[in-house]
Amino acid sequence: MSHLEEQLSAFIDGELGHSERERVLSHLARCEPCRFEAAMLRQLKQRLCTLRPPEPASEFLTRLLALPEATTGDPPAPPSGFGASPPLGAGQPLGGLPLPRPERRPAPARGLFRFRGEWGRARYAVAGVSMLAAALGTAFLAGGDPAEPPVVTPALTDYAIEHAAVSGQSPLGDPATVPVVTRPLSPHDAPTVQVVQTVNRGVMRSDTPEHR
Amino acid sequence: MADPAPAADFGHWEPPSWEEVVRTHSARVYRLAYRLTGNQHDAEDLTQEVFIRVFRSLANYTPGTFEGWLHRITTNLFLDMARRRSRIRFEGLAETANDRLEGREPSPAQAYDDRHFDADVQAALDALSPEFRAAVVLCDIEGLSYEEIAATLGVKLGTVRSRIHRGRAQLRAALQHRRQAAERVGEVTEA
Repeated sequence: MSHLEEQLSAFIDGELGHSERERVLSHLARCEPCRFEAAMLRQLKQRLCTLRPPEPASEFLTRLLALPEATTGDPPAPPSGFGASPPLGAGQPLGGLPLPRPERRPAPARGLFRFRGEWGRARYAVAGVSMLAAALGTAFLAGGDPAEPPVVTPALTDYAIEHAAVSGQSPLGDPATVPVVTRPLSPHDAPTVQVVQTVNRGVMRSDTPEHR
Repeated sequence: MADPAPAADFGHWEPPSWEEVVRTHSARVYRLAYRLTGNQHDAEDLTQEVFIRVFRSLANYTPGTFEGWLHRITTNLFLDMARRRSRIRFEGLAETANDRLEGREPSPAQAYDDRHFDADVQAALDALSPEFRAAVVLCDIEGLSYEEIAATLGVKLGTVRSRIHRGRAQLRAALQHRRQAAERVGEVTEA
């Protein structure tokens, strides 16, 4: 009868499925050395659990609080709001529409040009949407701003590649993208929706007197 | 007339202030960083690295998903740091850690710390290879499930299980060794 190995740790951690757990329990019932091992592992886990948490020094907290000043004396603005920085794709609209020339000469006639009348405002909407898309898209992608000064630029790409090479896993995303890209919308988004509903209800209520 | 409302909603939510973020998360990040690195200086460096990244992505701050992300970047920055710092020392450590532990001489600073109960465990943690240490710390100190650890480290569930078990086995050996060493020292000083 072979002794329990990894299963024992997983058992202590409550990480075994039902059937595996049953097997471990029945093994423990008739194996003194494994019971001893389990007791030792529990003791060790207990000891780790009860470690007193180290407190960060107050000077260090001050340093952390001052990080924004240390990081942002420079042109690339801090993320002061979602998409608040100049859209990085602004120079090249995704739709490939010609930018207005300084002299405002008409753009050379293309296939698209014919639709100008009908497109009218829609064109600007499309341009706006594509600009927004470019801004949002690049905002996510550009966690390390291209124009970032050398002082605080981490070798994120190197790090991702190296991590991938060492761990044999697919490269990590830029940390800046992770919370948004990989996680589902959190409950935090709910309040926004609720606000909209409240506003609508308010409008409806204000309408009702007239309907009476 | 219909346009202003969506525009207002779009700008409705504001990311938390930097001070809020630091006050809310610094203690937890520092605790993890300290358990991983084993000393104040490295823990502060690691925590600062993490918060530089936090600052960069403050606009994407989403409560609830943030904690997992912090675990992930803290742990991965630590592993990266450890690998970069001493590629040679950590190579194959997983297999031979027990042999190496025998030759580990406590420095005067450690000898002082050894009087403290916690420092003993921390020193034993420090003797683990970074990968094993990260798995054990995330499990027993941070209280993450195997699944969460797998996601944090980007490894399979079976790997987590094996690292935790082997990490604990090495921890026990290290603690036992330290206890024996302490007993020997005690005999000498008492004699």
